[in-house]
Amino acid sequence: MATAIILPIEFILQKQGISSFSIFSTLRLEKGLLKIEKFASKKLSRLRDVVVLLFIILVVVIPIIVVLNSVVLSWSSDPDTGKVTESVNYQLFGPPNYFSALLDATFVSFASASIATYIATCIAIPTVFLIKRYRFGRFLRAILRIPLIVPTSALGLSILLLWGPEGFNLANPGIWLIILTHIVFSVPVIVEPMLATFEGSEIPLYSGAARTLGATQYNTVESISLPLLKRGIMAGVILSFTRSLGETGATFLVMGSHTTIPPLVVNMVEALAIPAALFASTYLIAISFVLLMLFRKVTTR
Amino acid sequence: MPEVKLTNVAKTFDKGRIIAVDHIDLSIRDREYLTLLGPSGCGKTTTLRMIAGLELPDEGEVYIDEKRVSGLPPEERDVGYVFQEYALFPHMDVWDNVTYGPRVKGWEEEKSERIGREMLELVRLFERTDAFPSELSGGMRQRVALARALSSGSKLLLLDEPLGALDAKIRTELRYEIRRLVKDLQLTAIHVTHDQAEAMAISDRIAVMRKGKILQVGTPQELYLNPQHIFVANFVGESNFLEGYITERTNHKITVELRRGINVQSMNQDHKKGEKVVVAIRPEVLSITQGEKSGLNSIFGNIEGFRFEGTNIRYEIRLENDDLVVVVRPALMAEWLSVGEKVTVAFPVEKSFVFSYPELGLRTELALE
Repeated sequence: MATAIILPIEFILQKQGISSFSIFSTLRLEKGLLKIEKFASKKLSRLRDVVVLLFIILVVVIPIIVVLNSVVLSWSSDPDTGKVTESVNYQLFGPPNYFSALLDATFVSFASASIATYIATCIAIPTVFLIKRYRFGRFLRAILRIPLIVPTSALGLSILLLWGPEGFNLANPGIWLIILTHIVFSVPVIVEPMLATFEGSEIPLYSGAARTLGATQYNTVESISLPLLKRGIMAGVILSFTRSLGETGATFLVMGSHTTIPPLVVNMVEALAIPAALFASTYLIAISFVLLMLFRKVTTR
Repeated sequence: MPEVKLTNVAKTFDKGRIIAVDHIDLSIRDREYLTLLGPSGCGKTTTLRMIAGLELPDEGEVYIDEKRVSGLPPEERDVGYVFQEYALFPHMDVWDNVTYGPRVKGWEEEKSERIGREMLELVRLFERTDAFPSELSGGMRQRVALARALSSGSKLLLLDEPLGALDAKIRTELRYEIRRLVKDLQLTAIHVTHDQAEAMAISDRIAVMRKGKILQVGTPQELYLNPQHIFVANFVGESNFLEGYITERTNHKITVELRRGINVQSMNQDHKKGEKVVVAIRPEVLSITQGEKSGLNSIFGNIEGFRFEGTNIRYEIRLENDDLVVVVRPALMAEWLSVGEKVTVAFPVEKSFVFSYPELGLRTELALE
């Protein structure tokens, strides 16, 4: 810190042509600053911790609390205007009947997330063995990462164009296209934690041992490799499921008349049904939180 | 009755850049305990893995029981394999590990259980059947691994540095236990190690390997008493090497002139007059006496180093021709001399070996890698 302050001062003073004097004075200044820095460094390190903690609370925790708080406050009527039509209760269960829309969306969300995750897992498991067994595996792994890097709306658009009515006409926008889109980005999401587990578990050694004991290649995968990969598979499944539930951009483009929860929230906001959107967000946060706890339980011994 | 035969077997890695096994021939007799001995990277483990089918040879054939198995996968070769890293399945307890072979082969449950119990009793671990591998000590794990390898009913046991990861004391205990098991069960065993003491103690025969080649196969005594290769003379036991030229030869004896004109005599082993040779003498063969006393094969020198090793004393002696030799004497039998003393070292004519000077130089020829 001292250097950062001294250097520009010294530079300016030298430019001004008073170098002989400035050296003396800046040196003294430097010494003084260093002293302050030394004294402050202990207090500063504690300050740093506090700042980081405050930042996390401010940026991560408070918005969530605000959402929860708003739901509670505006449950029966709007806290500012007192209008009943702008309450959570009215919008959900009253004439706008957003609750049934939310239930429908929940069904679509869970159905597409589970089917997509299931199919993606079935693809991911052999993919991991492919990546590990062959030389071109690294290339394959790199290709698989593309859906993770491509912005999700671009991914959704490309899938809509290719498989939708304009392309091969495999499926109309709706739940099946949602599932297809989710499979595309779920495979790498499951493959990565599985690969990490594979690399930490010496599977080739154990497989070799099993083979010498009389197990065929198929036996070995079933009784050795998959049980050893279990933790990675579970982690991948939960990650993929959570991501499917929260995905918005791509789903928006391919969902047609069906809708999952996150696009529903966007639609609610656009229809200025803010209280309903608040409730839906709370609902989504709660589901994600439960899944996060599940993920922790699975990944820690 | 398992006999194993390798003919002209070769294996390279990394697209031929690393030669692991360089066209070897080897046959292992029925019920024999054979050790593949060599420094790390000499191709001994690769050889073993090729016998098990964990690697496939690039060239040559592997026969087990006179049946060609070169292309067969491991599960069709019927071998028991013990890994240096134990390779016990971490998600199974001891019992499931040991009965894995019988179960996966689809044997009747009763038979699997009987074999599992027998094998665990054999390695004296019956009371730990519920334990997981992570709860066992290194020695116990290796005993479970042994039981597991044996329970598949194979009469051919392949051991890849089975004692390498264990403490010295347990290592010596377990090596006799393995040999006893192999002999009791009348198995054929192929054991890979870099530890020559271990190889000497347990083997019926030893094959010494270096840089993918087998240098010599013989009983431990043969290798020690009659090494056919200069590397073997150094790796099995220990040797001092003195360079010189043959100045005289009769039917039985040769005279070698060492550096600075010192003459020593050795047995004639088909060398020509004028040939550059290396005389190898084991440290325990050299005698050492105080003062300068001339005689046959006696060379004067100065004690440069002295180390008391417990049972032995180890002297390093700078000879008058500037060669350095090591002399090992039993601590209780010899008089203790100190550094700087003038001494005479001597050796009997028939207890030295003469080798042609290696083309690539002595140092390269003795190098471990």
